Amino acid sequence: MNESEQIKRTTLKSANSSRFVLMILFLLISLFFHASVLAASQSRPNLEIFSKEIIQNIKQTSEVAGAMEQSLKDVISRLEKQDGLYHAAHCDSDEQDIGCDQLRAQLGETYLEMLDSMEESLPEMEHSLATTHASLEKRIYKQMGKNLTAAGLQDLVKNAKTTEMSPSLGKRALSKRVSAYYNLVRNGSPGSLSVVAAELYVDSHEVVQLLGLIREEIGRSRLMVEIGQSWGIVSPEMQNTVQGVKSILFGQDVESGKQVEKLTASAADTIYRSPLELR
Amino acid sequence: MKVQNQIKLLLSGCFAIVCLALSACASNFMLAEGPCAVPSTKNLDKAIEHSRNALSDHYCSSDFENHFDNLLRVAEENPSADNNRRFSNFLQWAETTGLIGNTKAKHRYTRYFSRTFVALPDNYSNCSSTCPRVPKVQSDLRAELVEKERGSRILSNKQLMLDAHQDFEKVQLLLEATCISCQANAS
Repeated sequence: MNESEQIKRTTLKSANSSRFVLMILFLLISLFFHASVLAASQSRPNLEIFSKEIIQNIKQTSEVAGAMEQSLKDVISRLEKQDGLYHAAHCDSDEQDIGCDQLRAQLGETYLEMLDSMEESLPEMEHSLATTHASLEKRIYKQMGKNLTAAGLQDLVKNAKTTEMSPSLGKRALSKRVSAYYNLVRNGSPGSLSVVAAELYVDSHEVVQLLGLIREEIGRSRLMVEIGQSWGIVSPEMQNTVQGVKSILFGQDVESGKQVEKLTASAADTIYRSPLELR
Repeated sequence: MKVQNQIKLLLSGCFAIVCLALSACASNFMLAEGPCAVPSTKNLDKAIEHSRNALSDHYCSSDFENHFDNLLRVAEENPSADNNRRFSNFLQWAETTGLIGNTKAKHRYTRYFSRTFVALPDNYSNCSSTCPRVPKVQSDLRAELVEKERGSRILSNKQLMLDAHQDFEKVQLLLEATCISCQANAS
């Protein structure tokens, strides 16, 4: 065997052995990674999403929403009455009538009063909701996003008891929704708490965004009314603002809250369980 | 001479392709006759027995899916609370004889007759693995929900369908919340 052949063989050997070492290393790393994920999925940590602080936050949000509803209830109902009167008197077609001018002025004043009242209580409401939302986000991310698999989420759901009324499904007044969440958190089982947390998180995410939009809309409406000075009638934009405020605070359809179907208990003992069934 | 040979070769190739296509069609359309044919009986027990006999033949083992689907059809016409036992036994038999693997047997049973969704992966964390492909997971879940509805009809068990629907809604909600939080923390 000549020297160059020997060098070739040695190089080939070392290349093979380094490839082998690399393969083993890769195998070990993937095994370690898989084992750690498997351990995470099997340990199924008990979720502790609702800290005392979050519960306190939810309670506070409910109170703030309640106070806001109360302060706006009168002014919105007055606004609606005046608007009804304005249309009943056919003021939209008779622009010269003195009575209609007075009604227009009253409408504008009441509308500004509503905007004032909203502007006063919106920041506290937004802050309270945003705090709840941020705290929930942190915990949901850590406990459900990083530490659980999709099948782990299903395990949580199986432990969840059916609630009689899902707060967001009912489209109820905001304070009632938040207070329903608060009651569910206080009395809920660990499984259903994760569902409540998810619902409250998604719901508050939407409401915070809507409140932001309404705040922008208020600024625009105020400008329009103030520039106009003649007060004018309640424009479609103003009506949208009033509807938006109403739907968030008072709910869109208070009575037609969709009842989540109450399920009768199944006779679990008599049901056949196959050894093939995954649980 | 060479050209003639080539034409012969081409013709025999075409013939082979046509034969293959015809045999594939035959297995797809489930010929009513023949050793691998699915049973035409409407009685589930008899249909299972027939399928077992047919599938025991090594030649017919690739027809498992056709037979299983036919059994589901027959069972839908004969709903009974005891049908899950029948299917469980059939799948266990199929597993023992090596027609299907253990995981497939478990998944197949669970997809139809249990509220548990096998479409939900159980290997990696939600943020890293589930959330990036939520649309696919959701469509798999929906497909499985339809199969569970079928299973519930076969068992004449409305509760199974209600439980599955409820779990489906709640899992969707948890997934939505989880993935929003993952996205918020990723940015």
